[in-house]
Amino acid sequence: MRVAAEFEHCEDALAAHRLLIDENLDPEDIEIRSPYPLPEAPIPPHRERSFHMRTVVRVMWGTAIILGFSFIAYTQLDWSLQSDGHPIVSVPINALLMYEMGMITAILTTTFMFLWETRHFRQLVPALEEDLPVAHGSVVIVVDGNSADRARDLLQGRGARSVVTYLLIACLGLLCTGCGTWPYNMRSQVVNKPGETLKPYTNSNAEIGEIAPADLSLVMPAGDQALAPAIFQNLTPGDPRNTMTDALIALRGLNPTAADYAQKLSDFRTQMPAWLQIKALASSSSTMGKPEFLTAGKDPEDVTDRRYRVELNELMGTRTGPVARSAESGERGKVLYQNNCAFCHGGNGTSPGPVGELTQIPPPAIGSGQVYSQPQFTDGYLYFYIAVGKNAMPPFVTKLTPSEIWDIVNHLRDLQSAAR
Amino acid sequence: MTEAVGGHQKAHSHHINYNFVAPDMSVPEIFDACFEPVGKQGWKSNIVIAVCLGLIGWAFFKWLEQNFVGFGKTGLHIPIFWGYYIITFVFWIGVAHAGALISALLRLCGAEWKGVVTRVAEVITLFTLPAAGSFPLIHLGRFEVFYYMLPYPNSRLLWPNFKSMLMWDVFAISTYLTGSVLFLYVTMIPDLGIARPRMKGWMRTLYTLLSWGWRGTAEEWKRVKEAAALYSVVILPVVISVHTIVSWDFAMEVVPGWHSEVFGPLFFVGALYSGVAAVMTMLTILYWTYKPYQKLITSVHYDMLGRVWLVLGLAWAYLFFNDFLPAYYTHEPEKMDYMWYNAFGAYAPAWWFLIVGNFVMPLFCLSSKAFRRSRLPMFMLSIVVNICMFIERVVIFIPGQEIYNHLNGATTHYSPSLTELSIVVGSFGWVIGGLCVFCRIFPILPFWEVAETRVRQIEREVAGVKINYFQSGE
Ligand code: HEC
Repeated sequence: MRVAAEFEHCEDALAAHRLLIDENLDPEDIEIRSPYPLPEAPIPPHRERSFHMRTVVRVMWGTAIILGFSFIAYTQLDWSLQSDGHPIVSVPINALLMYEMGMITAILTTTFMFLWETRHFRQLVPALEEDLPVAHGSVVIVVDGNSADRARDLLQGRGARSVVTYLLIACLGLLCTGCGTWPYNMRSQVVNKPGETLKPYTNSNAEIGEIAPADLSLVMPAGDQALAPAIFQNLTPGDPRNTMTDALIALRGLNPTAADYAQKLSDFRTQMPAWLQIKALASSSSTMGKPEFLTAGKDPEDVTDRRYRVELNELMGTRTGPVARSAESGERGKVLYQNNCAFCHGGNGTSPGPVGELTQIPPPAIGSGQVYSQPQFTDGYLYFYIAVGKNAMPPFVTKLTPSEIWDIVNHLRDLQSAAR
Repeated sequence: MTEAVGGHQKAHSHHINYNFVAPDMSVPEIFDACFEPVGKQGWKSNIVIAVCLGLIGWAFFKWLEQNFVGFGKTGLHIPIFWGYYIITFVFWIGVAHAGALISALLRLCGAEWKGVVTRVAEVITLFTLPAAGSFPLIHLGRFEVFYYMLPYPNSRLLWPNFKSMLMWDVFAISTYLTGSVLFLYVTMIPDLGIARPRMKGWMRTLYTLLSWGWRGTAEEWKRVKEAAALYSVVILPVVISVHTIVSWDFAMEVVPGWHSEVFGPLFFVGALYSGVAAVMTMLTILYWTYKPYQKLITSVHYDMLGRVWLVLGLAWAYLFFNDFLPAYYTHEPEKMDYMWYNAFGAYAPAWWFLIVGNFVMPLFCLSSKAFRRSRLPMFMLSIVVNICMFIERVVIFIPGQEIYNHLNGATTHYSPSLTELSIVVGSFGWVIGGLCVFCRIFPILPFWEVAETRVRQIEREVAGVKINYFQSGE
């Protein structure tokens, strides 16, 4: 390639280019080089490929951007609009990942496409003499008389286009999946207003129904899987918190063999009637930790979220409960404790009972004089966890009245002082 | 030519004339001006780089010490787990937002004055984003297990917890880093290709390798402009998502003051606000350092950036106060505690300084055209705003943790230790030193964009077409 002419102004160069074409020189051999983008791109017509990819790309990018922005707009807005001002909504994490992947793909594809499409015009060689005028700010026309054939060959490689196109389509697909699946991944937060009937926590029902058989097959001999629905109907009617895990833990702990499985199960049921009953009750109520345990005896209309929190703080700080410690209260508590707690926490609250041995997190020694008698475990604290439960321990709020729970707390204190 | 443009301006002086007049320079002159610092050494920048290396070295030493001795080296203690490391992380993320977003927006608007701003902004991202990304890793404590975050198959069947915010940060930052580095690189290829025949020694090899044999043909120009346009569009949602995700790190926690729905937009706008301030600082320093740049960086750039800045400042203020309104109307107890603790408690001086420096002062200063067009005041304001944006993160993140301890109700106090401060200062060393080195190796003002603007203006002037700042004749 030889430099035919150098121009200071780009219009002159463009005019010269037109002149050469008019003079019937092979446009293939003529190249215009400039240090900045020219106002018009004098690409010989046959080099501008008849190809609709650019339109396709524009449409795709447009779609990607609209989807990206709607995803973002949604995430910026949904908290306040959907959740009643409660910001904790689990982010649709699959959507997030897909979105990021889509964006990375779009970015890499852009670069790839750029490098790919300009590859014919570039040579990774040391700077040639002909490049020098451009480096000094001139617009240059270079003409090549000999390698016209080679250039034509290079420019005919159309297969490359389809690779790019497929990549772009894949990228758009990724974006669509990312942005399309979020509604299904979004756990909506069910907020119950005072006075409304409590809504069940719908999503988790579906979840339990879906994952149960798969998970069970891990722990149960194949022949027994027919029992699965029965177990889950009895143990986990729609309660997301103390459900699956408990049952699985229990089953795993029972280490069922085909022979004694049914027997174990019925033992299991008879040993913990309280639990089963509670589960059945709990299934009809929201499990979002709403303040029922505080509302007994109060006007439910009166309870706002803020008061719930204030009351929770107060409760946690309550050193001695409203029901005074007395022999009668202790007796009442003892009976309740034996019926509701002993099979997990043990008769005197020091070593786990038969069911307590099966839970993954063992029940702590609530009756020993060592831990739960320390000042930070106020009566209110004990009350709270008995009422709402903790991990494998079920909530007792629907089963016991507040004064009954306070009786149990008093009984725990008796046990603790006896142990000391 | 310029005379004619000037006359044109005078004739219409009763209108608001938005013509941005490119400096009266020929293309070779623009080349010389843009490449002025490239390949040269000066004792001033040598000193700056040496100091920065010292800071980085000291920070590195402190970081090693922290790794060997333990996290007790920091001021973090129960219940304050997120301290200056996380604050600095968010701060740098914010500054990094300048880059891609400003240049993408200016490109999409076809703003004529974008020439000198775009690459400065992108390069700021290039250095601040790695600085930001390193802080969560430093904050890990057990740095050596950082690869647990990569989803790789292993014998224990461990898999990253995709619900953890740490993972989201990894995804967001790596997307943004890839995007902005490539954006910067692709738009720099023409400059490298054009300049390489004039480079000497190893710089010539470097330019040859990096420019991929760029020749400046019409086809190449077409593609590079297309690629720049595509990047500008793709990068926008990425930018927005990055800081939204960073804000979720906080908003998902149940710590008073963090637990807020407005954090996504608030963080995003705050980031842009500090990003523009950083660009302003950088432009002014470039102006003072390199004589030939003084023709290219004009008061119009300050004016226009100032307007963008003012709008962002107002948006920031709106969202910042908006954050408190729901808390105030509902009297949410924790948030109220947090508010009063900020405004009248231990953090009151910082908080009020923030209000004045980040809202009141910029509002009044930037409303005045004379102020926007004067260099030194704008520079000082940009410094104040960036200090304020650091303070903003402090007063958002720390007080909530200090008062939040609902089991025993105790409040504690946190102040950064020497280790934390050293590492934070070290990150400033990395950013400043990195920018210095970049200016010596690559053209920080994009030659081809400035030249293009100039050439277009001459053309339009010949054709008698008028155009304003946010349009171009393309
Ligand atoms: C299904 C078995 C089970 C039953 C029934 C049960 N608990 Fe528990 N309980 C547990 C387990 C398991 C834990 C430990 C939970 C944890 O730390 O995750 C526990 C923890 C506790 C704690 C300590 C909570 C804390 O914060 O450390 C108290 C107090 C307690 N139970 C009291 C009771 C009382 C009183 C009853 C009866 C009304 C009862 N539990 C019934 C299994 C049970």
